[in-house]
Amino acid sequence: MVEKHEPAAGTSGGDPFAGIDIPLPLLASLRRHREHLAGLVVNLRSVGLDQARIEASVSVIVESYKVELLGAIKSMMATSDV
Amino acid sequence: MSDPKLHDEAARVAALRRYEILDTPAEAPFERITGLVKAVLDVPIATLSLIDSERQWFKSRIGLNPSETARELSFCTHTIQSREPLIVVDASLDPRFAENPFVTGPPSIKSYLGVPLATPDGYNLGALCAIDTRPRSYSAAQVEVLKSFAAIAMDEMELRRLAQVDPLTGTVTRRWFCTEQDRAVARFIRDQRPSALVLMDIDHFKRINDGHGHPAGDLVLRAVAQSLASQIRTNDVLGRLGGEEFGILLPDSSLEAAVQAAERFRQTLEDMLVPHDPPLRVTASFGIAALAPDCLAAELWTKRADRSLYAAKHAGRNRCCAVDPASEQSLREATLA
Repeated sequence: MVEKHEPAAGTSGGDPFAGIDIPLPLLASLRRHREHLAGLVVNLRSVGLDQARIEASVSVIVESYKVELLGAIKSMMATSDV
Repeated sequence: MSDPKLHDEAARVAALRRYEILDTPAEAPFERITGLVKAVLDVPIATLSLIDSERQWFKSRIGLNPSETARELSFCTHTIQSREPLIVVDASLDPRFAENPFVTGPPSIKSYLGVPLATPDGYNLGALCAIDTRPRSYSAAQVEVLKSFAAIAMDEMELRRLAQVDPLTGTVTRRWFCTEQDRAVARFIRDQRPSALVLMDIDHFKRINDGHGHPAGDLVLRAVAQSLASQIRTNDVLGRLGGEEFGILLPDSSLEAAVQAAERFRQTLEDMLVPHDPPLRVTASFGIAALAPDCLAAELWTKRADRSLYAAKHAGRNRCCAVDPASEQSLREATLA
């Protein structure tokens, strides 16, 4: 199953999770994460961070989460595919 | 308004334990979050603190030395009593904290902002904190930023928890099971605490899939997992290691105790009727190996249990076999069905 998502609001670049097959049990978690990222962008803007620092902060978090997400998918597939 | 989950300490600690995060090493995702808290809120100390039953343990900490503190000294134990952030402008003027040794002595905490780390089902496991050594207040926008970082930290923890679980059977995944084996090996090396590994394979599972279809096969897998899960102890670990293969890790168990447990599992499965039209019966073969000085690696330990499982299959299935630790070559059939 492939879920298509928009980039976090207020950030540039493509969808970091595009093209990843997301197993059903992880979909709700990913949706929550995307909402939290969007909220973070708004809140960082409210405290006066410039766009470059916002982009840098969000990209650090997105990359971290993506690595964990791929690890989680691999872990789930390793069990169910054998 | 009443919020029972805020006051159900036993359920809260049980929820924390499900995340299997206590006493794990520092990890980059959480270090990055505390690093961002420090930079964005301009504080010298940032922590991701988890509140265990008797202690506060830091998954990540910047600007603070101890890896854990007594719970009663923790600001965060107050934070988790509420759904809202806790703001302390000057701890030396707050009767809850004025005599706290972390306020009166190093690191001389003065101000504190903590946001509860809440699970999706409503348990506060700990708090994400921004701490300063001077009195200060925080704007509403700064509080919202910390709330966002706390939510993202929980996303990371939740993802890890989900990754532990096989979606079909609800047992832990192979990867997580291997991590638990590594922990058992570490306990054996450190404290000489025994552990035993049981590998289980459903006999002739392909016949069920071929004869009744894959949905029936899934029913059987779920029923077997439920049966095993209902019989293991709180600290035992049940994992689905492959298609129809499960592992049961029995901490603090000798080989003999593990053989007895495996025989109970085997008998229960033999007696079980899986609801289906027609109802299905299954049997399973079990291979058992105790952790021993000559197999102090998860891979070697698994290989030893796997040889026992092979012996059980070779001897006619629906039985338990164990490697005799005294002789690697000698396989002792524990039970003949």
